[in-house]
Amino acid sequence: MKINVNGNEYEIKGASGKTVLEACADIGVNIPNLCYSKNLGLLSSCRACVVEIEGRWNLVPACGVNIADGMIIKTNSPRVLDARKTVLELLLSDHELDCLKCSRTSDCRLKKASEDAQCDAKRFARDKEFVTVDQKNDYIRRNPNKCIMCGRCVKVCAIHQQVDVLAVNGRGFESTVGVAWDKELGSVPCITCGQCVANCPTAALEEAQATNRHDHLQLLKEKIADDKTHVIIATAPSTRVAIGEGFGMKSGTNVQGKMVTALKKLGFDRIFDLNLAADFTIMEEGVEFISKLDNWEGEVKTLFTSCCPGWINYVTMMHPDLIPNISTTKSPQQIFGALAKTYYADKIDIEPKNIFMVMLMPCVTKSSEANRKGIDANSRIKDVDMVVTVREMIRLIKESGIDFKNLDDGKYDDPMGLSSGAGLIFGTTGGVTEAALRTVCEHIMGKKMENIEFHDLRGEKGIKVANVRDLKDKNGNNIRAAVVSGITNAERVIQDIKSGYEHYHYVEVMACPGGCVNGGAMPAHDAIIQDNFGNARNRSKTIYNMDQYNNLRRSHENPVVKQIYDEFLGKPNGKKAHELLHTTHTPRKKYN
Amino acid sequence: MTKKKLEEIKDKYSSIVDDKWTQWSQKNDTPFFNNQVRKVLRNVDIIDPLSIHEYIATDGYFGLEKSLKITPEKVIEIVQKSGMRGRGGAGFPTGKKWQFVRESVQNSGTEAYVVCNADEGDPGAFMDRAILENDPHSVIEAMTIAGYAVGATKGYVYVRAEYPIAVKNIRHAITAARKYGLLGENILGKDFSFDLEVRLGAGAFVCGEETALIASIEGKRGEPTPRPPFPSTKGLYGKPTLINNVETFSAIPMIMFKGPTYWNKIGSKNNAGTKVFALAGNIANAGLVEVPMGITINEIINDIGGGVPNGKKVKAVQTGGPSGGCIPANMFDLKIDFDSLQRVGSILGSGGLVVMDETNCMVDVAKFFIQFSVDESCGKCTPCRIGNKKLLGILDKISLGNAKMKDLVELENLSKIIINTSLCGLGMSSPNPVLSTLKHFRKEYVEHIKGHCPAAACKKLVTYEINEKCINCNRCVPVCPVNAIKGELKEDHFLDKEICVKCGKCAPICPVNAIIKVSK
Ligand SMILES: Cc1cc2nc3c(=O)[nH]c(=O)nc-3n(C[C@H](O)[C@H](O)[C@H](O)COP(=O)(O)O)c2cc1C
Ligand code: SF4
Ligand code: SF4
Ligand code: SF4
Ligand code: FES
Repeated sequence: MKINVNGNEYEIKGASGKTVLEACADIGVNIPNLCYSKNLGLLSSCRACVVEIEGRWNLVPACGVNIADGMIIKTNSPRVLDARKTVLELLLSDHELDCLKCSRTSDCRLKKASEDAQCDAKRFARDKEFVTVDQKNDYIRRNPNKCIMCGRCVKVCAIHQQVDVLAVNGRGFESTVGVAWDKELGSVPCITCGQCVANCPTAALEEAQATNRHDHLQLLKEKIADDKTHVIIATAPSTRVAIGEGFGMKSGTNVQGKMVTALKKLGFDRIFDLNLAADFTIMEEGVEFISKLDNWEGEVKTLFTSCCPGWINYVTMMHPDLIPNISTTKSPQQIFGALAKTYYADKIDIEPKNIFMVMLMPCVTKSSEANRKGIDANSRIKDVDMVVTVREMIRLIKESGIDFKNLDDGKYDDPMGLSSGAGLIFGTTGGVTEAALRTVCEHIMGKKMENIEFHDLRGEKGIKVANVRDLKDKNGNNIRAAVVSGITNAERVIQDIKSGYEHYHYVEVMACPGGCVNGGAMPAHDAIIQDNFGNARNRSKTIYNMDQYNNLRRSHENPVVKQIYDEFLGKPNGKKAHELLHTTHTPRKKYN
Repeated sequence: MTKKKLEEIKDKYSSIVDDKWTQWSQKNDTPFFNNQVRKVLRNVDIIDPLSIHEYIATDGYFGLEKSLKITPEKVIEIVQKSGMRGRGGAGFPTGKKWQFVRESVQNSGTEAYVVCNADEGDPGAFMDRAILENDPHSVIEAMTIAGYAVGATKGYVYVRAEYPIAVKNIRHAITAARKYGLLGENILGKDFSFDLEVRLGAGAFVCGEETALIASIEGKRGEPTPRPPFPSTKGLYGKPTLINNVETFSAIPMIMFKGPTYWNKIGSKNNAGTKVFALAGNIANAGLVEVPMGITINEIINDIGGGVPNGKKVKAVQTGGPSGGCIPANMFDLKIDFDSLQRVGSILGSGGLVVMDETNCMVDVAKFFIQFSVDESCGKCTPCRIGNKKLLGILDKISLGNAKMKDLVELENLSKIIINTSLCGLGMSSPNPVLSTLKHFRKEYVEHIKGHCPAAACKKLVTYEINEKCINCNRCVPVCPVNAIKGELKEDHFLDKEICVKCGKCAPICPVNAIIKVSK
């Protein structure tokens, strides 16, 4: 198909169903767009993407029109540029405009588009009154003063998460995008998955922290400055393939070494790898799975994973009847914290209370897990003292003047710095299951596997299924494992299981589409055309690559894991392991 | 029900209806009515809307009977030949729309829907209400014909909840039609079934826009969605959907019964038939008037409306409601139809016709309509939600006397951008009242910038004075809340402009109209 863009002819490949926005991006002509995301249904609300198409009297949104053969498009005529600038200036007129201290200052789509269009933010007088920021939700802050009403958050919450607690309220100039029934985000059944944050083009939605809501990062700086506190940090699997984006590096670049160096420069006393704890999660969950496999009492005979707090928030609220089916094994974050405050504290001879355990996370709601009642191994000592998100860490590094891009590669500290590729792939959808299957088949059941890569479980599909021939239940059926990401898909699988339509022995759920690589607190997707996965695609690819080239690919082969079991924990699922590495789940109220 | 039974009922009730008609014409033997051509309103105020018999006696349901005897293609051909264009505002050829829906039904092989748009949100318009309240069967009959023509078996009448009588009467009529085998299974004994349901709108103006209306019927927020896809291919529940306005439907039965010439022998070129207008404002005889397309504004205002009362001079007429524009008095020999109104920067719209005399300030008029759009925009797209508010801000500045000439440039530029970039028809037309007043009454805008309001309507730009007619009765003095009027009984009275807050309370108290409002 041939189209003409700004006076030049182009042949567009695979053109059928392509929008003007996409076709132009293909040929290197970027059209600013704020509300468009490929998998959210067409919103066409922002109108920043308007272009001229010959034969149309008005300007049309590039996101909403498919190309046709011979179409003549102008994206930079005076008429288009003027309209685009005006539309953006209208948005800016009622915007808070505190860009300097805004958390999205370096990846705000509104700011970028307005800079390119050279907008005059003061062209139109402000008409909106400032409203108070909604801080009633402990993990997500909603600042309506920065909302441009694109509607993406409403769609993602309804379509991908089926939680549907966001809505457009009111009418006319007074209409707002906010919480359903004009409530606050703390008083609706939000599961704090953070996908609305990930989809917001501005900082109208951002991660918050229940404790020290206003300045937990200030507290962190004080802890680091305090000689008496031993501040340690563990980095989640997906962080090393994303944090570089905050410093202008290509999405999916592996910056593990630079990240470790940066954290050292920030003054953390020890930098550890959370992947190690993922190896422990596999050991514990693997044994748990085999021991429960043929011994379920209830109707549902499935073990659901428990490492995603967004999922746990959902299932304990909407399906409390499934609580017996949720794995009691703690998530890597909580396992790491528990071991740090016991095994590690002993080892280096420091009082646990003098250790300040920090987690670097891609997730908006990992801090809710750290705060969950009953999660800590010892009720007087928190497993995890603070969660810092990737977005926050990027700001801390910049603030300290650390030249991230040019740092040398650092190494994780001993004794909790060694991990397997199995622990690493936790960072992407399907990784937990793949890692678990490696250990369950080989270590627990003692079957040597020729191929430890489960390609059926990789990729973007929301529901993936593996039929494991090497492993059978007591009826001789192959083990069926499902890998699910996105709550809408999870709900579908739950319904299939409950109705008896499908049987899975094991179900992995991640609330974020694509898993942690697509967490709500990751750097914003930077592609001109936004979609569900964006930068997560490259992040995930890098993770699988890193696993492939790792000599250590099975959790049970990790010497540190073996050592800690030998020296300290005893057996997986044993008494001590149960005390430290397992938890119980309780029903969660829908409304507080 | 059969043709024979229809004829029996007609015979039995025609004398009653004839009597009613005679009574009505005797009572209404006035220029206001005699200069009208009542086709769509033919039964309004005459027959009993709760009596299906009386409707049948006016040839009701004979159009349906005829339609079911010919092929759907033939029905569409007749509608096309009639030259009917949609009365909901845009004037889209009705037969062509039916053809589109029929084609997509045949291509997709799915079910389809017929929807009657009775949301009628234009301030001042009430023709759809009059039809639904007084002649509900005409809409039912037309929708059934449409269902047969496009291949639908289900229809919805979307009425605003603020019209309780219309809702009651259409529901009553649906029940009656079902009882008589004119809705439901095997209509008129033919192999054709069709049924109707009433849906209530919450009264948001934008819900009259077809895609918002569909969302609303589906139980979603009444927000427009991008077109394409058009409802004719993907409408209600994703199925091909025919949406027509009440007035459009209401003319269909007679077109089918009497043939296309019933409609196309009157009207002007490309604008067949009649149009109902809601005549309002500074006019002697206000109300609904039905006239052939193409008669002049003068004819409507003077011959039917009886001119402007109180000896005032006529200044302009506003057509098309909030999406329309103002036409100045020197253009009143303009023929009213879809195309000529568009040519002068206004629209026919749903048929609002507001007459304005010299006391109307055009900046004020523009402000009124923009305020309406600011409140009634659904809020989805940027230019309409925020742009209209900014237009209002500039207009405010003008009426306060604080504007500069460059504000007029901004007003015009922003208006054009809103029109060019908005998602739906509301935003695409909301600045029309601004642009048309700017075009035809630019001098008045410039006067405001110089600090005068020629119509003496903008509070900030007028002062109150006591002129020589004053009889020193002292009645005004106690009325003024800020004691701006000085004077004792039988002595001279003065109004202190420095103190006066222009509340206007004093003027109506004066027995000799000596207190007057003047432009600064
Ligand atoms: C903001 C807006 C409001 C509208 N309101 C109405 C309405 O109240 N009644 C109506 O019939 N059409 C209304 N329309 C037009 C409809 O979208 C649609 O074009 C019409 O119902 C089609 O019927 P017709 O072809 O018979 O005119 C409105 C359009 C817009 C953009
Ligand atoms: S955090 Fe998740 S559940 Fe909560 S509002 Fe956002 S998308 Fe919806
Ligand atoms: S909060 Fe963000 S995503 Fe939601 S409508 Fe506002 S700008 Fe868009
Ligand atoms: S033009 Fe106005 S009414 Fe139409 S979609 Fe945009 S905001 Fe809504
Ligand atoms: S309208 Fe096209 S991106 Fe928002």
